[in-house]
Amino acid sequence: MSNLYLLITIGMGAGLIGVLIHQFGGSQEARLESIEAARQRFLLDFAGETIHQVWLSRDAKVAFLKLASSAKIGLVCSLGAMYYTRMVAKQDIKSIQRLVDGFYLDLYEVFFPKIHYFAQVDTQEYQDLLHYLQDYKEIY
Amino acid sequence: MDVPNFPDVTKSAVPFFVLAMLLEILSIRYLEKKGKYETRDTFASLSMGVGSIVAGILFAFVKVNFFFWLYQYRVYTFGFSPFIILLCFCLDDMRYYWAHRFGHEYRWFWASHINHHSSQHYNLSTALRQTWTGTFTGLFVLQAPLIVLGFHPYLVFFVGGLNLLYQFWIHTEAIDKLPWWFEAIFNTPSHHRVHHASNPRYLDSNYAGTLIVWDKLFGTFVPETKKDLPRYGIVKNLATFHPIKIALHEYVGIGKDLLQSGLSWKQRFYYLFATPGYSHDASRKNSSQLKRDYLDLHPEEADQPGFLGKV
Repeated sequence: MSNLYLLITIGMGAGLIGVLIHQFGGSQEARLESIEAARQRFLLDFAGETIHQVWLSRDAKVAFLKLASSAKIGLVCSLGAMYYTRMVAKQDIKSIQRLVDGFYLDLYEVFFPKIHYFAQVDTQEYQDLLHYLQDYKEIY
Repeated sequence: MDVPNFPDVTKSAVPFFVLAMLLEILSIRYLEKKGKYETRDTFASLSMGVGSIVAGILFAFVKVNFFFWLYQYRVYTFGFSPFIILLCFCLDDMRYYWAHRFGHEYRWFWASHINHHSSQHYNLSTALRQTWTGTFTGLFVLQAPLIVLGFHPYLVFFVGGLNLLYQFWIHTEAIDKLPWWFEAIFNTPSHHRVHHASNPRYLDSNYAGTLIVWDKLFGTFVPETKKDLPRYGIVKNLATFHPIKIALHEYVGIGKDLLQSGLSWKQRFYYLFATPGYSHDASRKNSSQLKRDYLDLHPEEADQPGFLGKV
């Protein structure tokens, strides 16, 4: 098979595959339906943890979890149709930056994207979360 | 001795890969077969596949020159009869088992192989999510014994290509279990789903390429069980679909670990070559520790496959 024919096959094949997947709903983004969903997703990866409280972002893509072991924060984030989880210690946090609609969390982890936590900023619940995070990193 | 004109198996199979993926997507949609495709995840896998072919072409000279140089010192000269090709395939399959096992058990090799496990989906596109840095790790030297024995380098490349081709179709959830005799001898979708799972039960198991008998022989076989359905991906799932980041993230992680201040040379060595999950301050967990954590919560599983000898 010539390289030209190979390139055409890959190009057309990838295009057709992409269109089909998109048409069949493959571009939908996952959302944490509830606080309980965030809790259950976290426990899938960290089964032994005891969770005291869960904060869910307004777009339902990020959740922070207060754990019994106070040294670390629990984190659940959506990525495409799936989720990833982390146990974050003080030294893992690069910065927490306050925004008008929530805050950015940035970690030292390699290739970790800044997380945007959307919130109703005037609620007590949100203030509780900021207060909790402040124990781990100064919020600016 | 005339050397047959062996085809480039991977390149020749590209149209088949495309067709098979289309059929899997349609069967999931219209025949309600198990499986899921996600747009960005699939494009990441396809990009990794193309990158792997390009890297293979760019760095082929390293392996070709090394193996032809080594072939001068062979102890015997095997021909190319069907029996010799079959023998070479089986021996290379055992070589693949060990190369693959090292690829999971030592971080230097894992850094190259981790991208293949980085998708949280399990479909035919996952099979194409291949390494870009395989030659760089040096693990190809495990093929050297075959060359020294007297198998021609092109034959070794050919059977290696066939092995990878075999493994393409087992990356699917659309096929449940196959007849018992096939499951007993060959690597199957069921066995390989276990290999791609991050459940503690399934970590570090089913390294086989074509013949699952190697796992049974060397004690790493774990069967798929309905009570613990595989969850795909890695223990610490990636937060990106970017193919370059997927390909290189573990190397960057190794670099960061090595550059930490206050480490001894032994600790730096371990960050490079110890089992994935090593950390000098016990802040991370390797697969054995994750299995023990699971057993603390589920002691009744202690005598089950995947946990034997982990108490």
